[in-house]
Amino acid sequence: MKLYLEKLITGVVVLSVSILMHFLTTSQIREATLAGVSPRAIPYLVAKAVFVMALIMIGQALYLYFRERKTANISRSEVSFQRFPFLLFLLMGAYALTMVYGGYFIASFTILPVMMYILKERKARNYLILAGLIIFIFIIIDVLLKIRLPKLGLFGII
Amino acid sequence: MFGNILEGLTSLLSLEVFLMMNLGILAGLIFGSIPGLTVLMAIVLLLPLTFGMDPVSGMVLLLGAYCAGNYAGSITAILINTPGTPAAAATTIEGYQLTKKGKAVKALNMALIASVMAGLISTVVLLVVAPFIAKLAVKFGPAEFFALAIFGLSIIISVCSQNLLKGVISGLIGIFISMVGIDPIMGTPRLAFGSFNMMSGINLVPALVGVFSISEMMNISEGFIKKWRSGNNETIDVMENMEGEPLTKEEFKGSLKTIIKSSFIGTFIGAVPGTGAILSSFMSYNEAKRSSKHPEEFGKGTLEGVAATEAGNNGITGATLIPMMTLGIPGDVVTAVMMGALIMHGLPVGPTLFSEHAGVTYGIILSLFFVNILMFFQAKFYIKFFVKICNINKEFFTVLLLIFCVIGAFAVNSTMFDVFVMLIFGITGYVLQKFGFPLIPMVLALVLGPLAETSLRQALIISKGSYMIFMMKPISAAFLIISALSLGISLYQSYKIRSNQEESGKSAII
Repeated sequence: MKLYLEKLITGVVVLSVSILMHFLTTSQIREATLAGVSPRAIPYLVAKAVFVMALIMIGQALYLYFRERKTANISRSEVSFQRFPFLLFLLMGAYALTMVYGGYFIASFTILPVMMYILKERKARNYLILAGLIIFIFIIIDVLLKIRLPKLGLFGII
Repeated sequence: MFGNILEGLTSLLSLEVFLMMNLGILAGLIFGSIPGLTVLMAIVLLLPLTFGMDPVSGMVLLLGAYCAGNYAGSITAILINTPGTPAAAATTIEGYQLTKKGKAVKALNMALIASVMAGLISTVVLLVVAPFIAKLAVKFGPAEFFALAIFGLSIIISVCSQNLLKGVISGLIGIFISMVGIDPIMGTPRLAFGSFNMMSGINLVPALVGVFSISEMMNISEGFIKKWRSGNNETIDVMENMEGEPLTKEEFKGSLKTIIKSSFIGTFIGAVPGTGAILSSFMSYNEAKRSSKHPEEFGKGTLEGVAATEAGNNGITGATLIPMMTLGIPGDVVTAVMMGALIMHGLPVGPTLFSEHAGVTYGIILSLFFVNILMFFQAKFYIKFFVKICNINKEFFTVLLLIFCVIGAFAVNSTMFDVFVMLIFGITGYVLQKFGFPLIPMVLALVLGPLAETSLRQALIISKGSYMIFMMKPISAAFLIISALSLGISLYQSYKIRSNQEESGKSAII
């Protein structure tokens, strides 16, 4: 991707975020005033500031575009995304969701080995260590420190 | 004050505290010595364990990891030219040269002694200075607190002078997110979408865990792919570099002045919010080189250089707690997590901490002395174990870290809502980082936003809507002027960096 394009996209995204902030401020915060400052004041100010920053970013991107077009020396963006971190994130989400519906043990004994497999872990010994650690962590957190974990999720009355 | 110190010492006299101190140090040494794993990760990992403990034991656990992690980054920096933590980058300059000369053991000993001494000096400063600042801060009203919050925000944003615009946007997003929940003055819900979970606001701990641990795990996973693609699963034998004579008394004496000077540099920098260990280690190194009788030896492997960087790096450990404990302004991200832990234990971070919870507060401060002393013995006797651990499987650690992140977020309110908050912050942090948005301003704005807003509105109620209240009070006016100056300087720096870049670009074309 070209650098000016990256800057332009970032600027447009930030601009959209600022518009969303404006919308949320007016729709989700009731207007009331005490000593000249309402609960809306700061979020509204922040939304406006982000809007101005976004315009500056877009301006910078356009300036870069016209300048580079003159010199015919187009800079490349260093931003690149790989699929794998997002796959890992999906697994993290699956772990959290399984914990809600299945509880700590079902989530840990199903999702974590899958994650380890995807992370190219093939040694059976490490899977056994993981199983031991899952139980050990439960004993430390739930039994000893009395931080109640969702044992069986929604299926097992938490 | 002496009564409080005695009370603090008494709170440390328990087997639980001793065990937690050792456990924290062990975790810090392990995480610090493995390149790619950070002190912050160690603290996040230990965070859920602290919820079931009394505040002193919990904080001692985190402080142990903090101090030991800061030191342990030097092990791989010295032995394999790879800093275990970013702050140890400066140590590689002299440390690895010493290893190449066969003086690795001397360098490791010097790094340990310098780190412990700097940690102790920093703790003394914390013990002496913090109560005075807290006493002064008790007299602060809403106007002063507002100015203080602005000062904190301005310093943090000014640290991102390389990309000021993105730093400011990141900070603004943080402020907006911190507005979620019940309005502190009028009690109306804000940005809550009718959800009870949202009404209680965005909890700091899940947000921090998400932004720094989940996004970091995603970043690390990119490295896994590179490793798999290159098929390079070979591990460097770190142990083979562990050779040479131990440090002599003369060598230690020769570097003593540098250690003390660098410790104070580290302490001073650590006390300023938003600076951190990287800056202090490089500044200490430069100062040591400047004032050395043999500056020509720097860069070729000198023990004085290792002493300077490690003392500078560890000098911040006690000092970063000064703004956090006295004013409620975290000096860096690690102290922001620790601040979250203190709040979780029901301790009001800020000036009242010293008056209302003196025993606990002094216990936490004094524990830093014991942490540094115990760290010396653990590192001295088990250094070979920590060196071996550098080759541990990071993929396995990632899975383990996920369990602790989820439990850590869940344990805050025993609700899965916080786990999902953590995940959202995680992916947002990852994407923002990719596009060059610094995350520290966002997190610190999340901490300082509510303080700034509440005190602004309280001050305006007192002044009946007049903004002059902020300039009429001398402390508030001073903080606001310093904030403006700080922002001005960072704008100038940003402009200078950009014009330098443009000039170098032009000369490259020519």
